[in-house]
Amino acid sequence: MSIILEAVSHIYMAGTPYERTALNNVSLAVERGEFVGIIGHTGSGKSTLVQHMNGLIKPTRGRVLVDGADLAVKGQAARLARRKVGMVFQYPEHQLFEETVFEDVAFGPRNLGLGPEEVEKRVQQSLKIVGLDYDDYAGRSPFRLSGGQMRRVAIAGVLALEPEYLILDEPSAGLDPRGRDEIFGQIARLHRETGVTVILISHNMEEVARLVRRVIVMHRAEVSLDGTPQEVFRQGAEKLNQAGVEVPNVTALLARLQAQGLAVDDTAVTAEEASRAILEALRRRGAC
Amino acid sequence: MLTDITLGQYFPGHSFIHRLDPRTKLVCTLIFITSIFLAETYTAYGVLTAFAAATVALSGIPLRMIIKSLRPLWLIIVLTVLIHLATTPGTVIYSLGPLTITQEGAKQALLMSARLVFLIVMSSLLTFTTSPIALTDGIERLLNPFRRFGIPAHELAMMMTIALRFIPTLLEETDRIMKAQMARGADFAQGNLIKRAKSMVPLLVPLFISAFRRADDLAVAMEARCYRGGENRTRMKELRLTLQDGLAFTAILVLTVLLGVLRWNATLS
Repeated sequence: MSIILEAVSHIYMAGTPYERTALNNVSLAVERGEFVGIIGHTGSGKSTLVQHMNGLIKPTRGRVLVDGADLAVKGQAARLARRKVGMVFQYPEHQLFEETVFEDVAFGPRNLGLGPEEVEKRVQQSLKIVGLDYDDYAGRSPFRLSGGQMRRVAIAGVLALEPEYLILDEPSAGLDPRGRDEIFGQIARLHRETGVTVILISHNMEEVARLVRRVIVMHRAEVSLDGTPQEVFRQGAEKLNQAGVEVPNVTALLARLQAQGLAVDDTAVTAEEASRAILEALRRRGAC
Repeated sequence: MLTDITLGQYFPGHSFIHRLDPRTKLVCTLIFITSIFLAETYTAYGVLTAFAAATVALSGIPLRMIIKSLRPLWLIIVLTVLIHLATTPGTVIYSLGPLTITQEGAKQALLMSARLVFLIVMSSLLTFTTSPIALTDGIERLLNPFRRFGIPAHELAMMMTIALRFIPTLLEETDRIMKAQMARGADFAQGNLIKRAKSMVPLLVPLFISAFRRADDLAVAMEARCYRGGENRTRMKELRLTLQDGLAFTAILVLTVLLGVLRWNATLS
């Protein structure tokens, strides 16, 4: 049970002067239940990569398998497989179109052919996940909400499909720090409570380091690093620089302390972990 | 998919045609299109074909792209052929029930569709070899003398620049919204006409909203940069006619004269 990319390449506008290789021979597997972060510079191929995962774009070469079904082979199996993968695009609030929040969130479930009761249940559930009160918001126009609220309605619209794999492309882009924390908190809770596989694209290392258990770094249409945040940040400093991604402040600080001769554990990724590690190291030094 | 549309898309290059002044290209294209209507004989069409082929070859634009530019209008071309085939009176060469095809009809069908093809190919060639900015710059300069008759040359050019500038952006946006709605199970390709029209709502509403938002943002951005129309604005790059442009004008004039002579001969005989 996994999403598997086998030697996938994608070339945009092949045969014109605008030809651009967005993915070059990428192979990777995302197992069910994982929480994966994909980071990389603008144009590194992140968005192209994830759009392959639910068949929105087809690989120029290679294969994409979702739970064993090849997405490029037309038929029932591929259609069902694509439904398992929910995709939240960048600035998802731009896709809102209905008159009320309820109708917009219900668009997906209705397209699945569900009955009215099931639709209502799913709308209620997904609005709850994104922290919007059903009774208060269901009847409102989505266009009269604040930016952050619109984004949450749009995310609820994808959650209402109850995907087994949830892909989010820069869900925090353009939000203030509070809105960002809220959205990431909700995604993390959803992952914890339902075990849904989450693939999160971001260029903010801090948040990725804090949330995910695996980081994939994209650089020039290829996967340049793949591992736990600790591994990636510690061992891949050079490659991270190449990819134009900054190491989180916490990791950078710990590395500098080590360089200055303090034997601190540098696997910490959050500020709390780091302060604990530093205190520990200081205590040890004081003891001997 | 959507991003494959080529009509009006610039194809970068450094050919002779690319380097021509946009005004030259605009005027020459207009003269060419007008002179198409001088042609009535096969010889004249031969001359036109040779000229068009030479221009395409000079421009270095792949033939595939040229053919692709014909695609959006193939229906009109086919209709033209059919109507001329079926309705021109003359010597019958084939008939099926009430439908008769005449020799004259076949000739008309061929020549009329050729006219359309020339029209599309040459105007596509103009946009293939001229960047939108250069094109509107050329239009503005060409319209400038008519300002005294109340034609707002600068405003027209600015409107065109903006419209052209946003075509790729809107296409990209459409592509993205389409994908987003498809990811939510929307189906744009199936069902009857009414169903399909209805399925466009989730695409069109967000598209309109974003177009208005963009327009608003752009207006604010232009105002913040003190834009107040074309009055007293100077340019960084002034357009200048060179020897090449002279050559191009000579070529198009020779073509027109040639076609004029052919036409005159045909009328005489």
